[in-house]
Amino acid sequence: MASTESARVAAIEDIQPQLDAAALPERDWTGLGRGDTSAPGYWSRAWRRFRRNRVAVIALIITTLIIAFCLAAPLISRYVTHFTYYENHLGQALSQPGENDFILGSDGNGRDVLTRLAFGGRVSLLVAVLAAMSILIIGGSIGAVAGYFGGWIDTVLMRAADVLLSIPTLVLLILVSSFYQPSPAELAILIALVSWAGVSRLIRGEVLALKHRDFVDAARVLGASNSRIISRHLFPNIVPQTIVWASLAIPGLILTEAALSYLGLGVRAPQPSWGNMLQDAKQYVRTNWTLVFIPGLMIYITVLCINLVGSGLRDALDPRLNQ
Amino acid sequence: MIAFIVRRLLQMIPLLFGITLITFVIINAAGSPFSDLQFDPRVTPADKERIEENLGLNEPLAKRYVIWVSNVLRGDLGYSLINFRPVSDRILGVMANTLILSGLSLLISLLIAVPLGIYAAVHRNSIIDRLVNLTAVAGYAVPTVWLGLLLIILFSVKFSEWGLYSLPVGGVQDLRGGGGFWDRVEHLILPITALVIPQVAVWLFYIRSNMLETIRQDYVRTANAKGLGGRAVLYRHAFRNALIPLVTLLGLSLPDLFAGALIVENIFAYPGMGRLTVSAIGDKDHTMVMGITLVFAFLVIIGNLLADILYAVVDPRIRLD
Repeated sequence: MASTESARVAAIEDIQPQLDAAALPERDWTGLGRGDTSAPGYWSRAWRRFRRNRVAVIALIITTLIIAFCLAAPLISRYVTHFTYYENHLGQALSQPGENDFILGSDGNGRDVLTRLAFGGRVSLLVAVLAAMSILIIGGSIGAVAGYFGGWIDTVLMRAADVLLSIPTLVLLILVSSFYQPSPAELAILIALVSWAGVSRLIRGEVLALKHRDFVDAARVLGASNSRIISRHLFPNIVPQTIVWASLAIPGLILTEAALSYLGLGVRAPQPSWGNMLQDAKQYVRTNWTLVFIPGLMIYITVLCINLVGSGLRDALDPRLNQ
Repeated sequence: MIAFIVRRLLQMIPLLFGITLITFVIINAAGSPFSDLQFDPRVTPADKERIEENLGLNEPLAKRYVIWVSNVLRGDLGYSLINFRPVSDRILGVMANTLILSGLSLLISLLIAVPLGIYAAVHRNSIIDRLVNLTAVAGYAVPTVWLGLLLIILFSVKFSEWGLYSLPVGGVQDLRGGGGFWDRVEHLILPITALVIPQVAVWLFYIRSNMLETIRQDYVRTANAKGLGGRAVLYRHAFRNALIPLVTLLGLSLPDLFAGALIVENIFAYPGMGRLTVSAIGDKDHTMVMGITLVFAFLVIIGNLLADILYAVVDPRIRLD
């Protein structure tokens, strides 16, 4: 029984590329409409393709470990390092790794680096993920509205996007965050407010390509409202692209947070982030280079792994791209 | 061609208008640059009011915007609130440094990435191709801040500790070198390296995939079928077409290029527009900040315009009308 099942699945896998090529326009990207026809849906086939990519799977495992490390920050503080992230031991400032019970050393204020690394990672990842989500919400809705309605709405929104795209985002961010001194969550929103333009163009393009397809016309003929067409018919079709976009944008946003915090305009002390740990470490390059090396390495590995997961996802979700 | 350029220039007008509006609104929403003076025991509220009155800061926002924009249109960016010298003088004074830093780093990145990317694409799945891919993936993820600091640690701090030839930590010149040509070069090596590594990675991705795309085109197959040698086809036909999209990408990469320069200038205390931006923001020098933002945006727009024109020049299939 099991073997015939898997043989059937394998057979479907074999002919699936031809099915994809033949039936692309009406393809149900979400797999929701398939009912229980038990042929592997879009997502399970994507997962199969992703699993075959060894590099992406390893990167996914490392990313998960890093996220677990950050989420477990209070536990690490309590059971491993026995320090809190704000606790000063000025007498033991600038300990080298391993010295005075500081596993990864202590910074210029005598705070434990490992504990701060875990808590800082929470902040860095939070800012990046929250910013990516806000960018998707803002840019996605602006792009969808512009592409769907067209006309002067499109013109106005896309000219606004042009304006934002022609000022370097980092300059805008420096301005905004220096004046408002945001908390990490506010920082994420501010990042989104100045960087939605690229996504809005992406989504607008997708919506433009979709809106004259037969299934949209069919829905309109059946009397669906604009908001229903956008949310139920257009949106599910751009989910794969947005997932890919987000997984490739989050690493960039981690780097943005690091750069901003390094300039002293991102996450502010005493709250640690990987970026402001680098800023704090800058003054000790002559004596304690590990203070620079460790948080930067965390940023590097995280960004690298999420990038690899992202490109694995891209190949898995859109096999046409990689033929 | 001329009609196209004129039309593009006309399109820039609403764009520039939008940029002035955004810049002005963001900066002035932050309130008076002199708000800190209320905590200064040496300054009476009357003094503070007089300063703001003299600078026209208590006029209505709309009026100030109109005055500022009409001055900007005449090429007058106003005066710094810190030392009352013209903003444009200050910016022009450091602009060359930024353009040298970003221009050189872009040039070097392309000089490395174009041949490597083409070679990798032509010899797909060879060891070199795999190495190129690995370098690109590894270089793309490097945080510029970290890279800059590591370069300082290794080539300035550790090299001098080990008694080796060490590079300067920052600035553009020093007393040791006396400001000569080699002194300038020495100060540029580390900042440019920090900018080049991530950029090379990005260009490698683009160039390799463009070239792969081009090799698959029909006319390349036709040329091969005609019996042209592999090299002639690759370099006469494919290579030149693979580079065309790069022109557009060059224009689009400018904001990132300037953002990178901004970070690197602040790591290496390099006196350019990026460092001026951060110090002006720290000083609450609002006219200076608005001026720099405008200049950055203007450089990006001009760069994009040049890229569009260049695109039409290198690809005659593009119709400009």
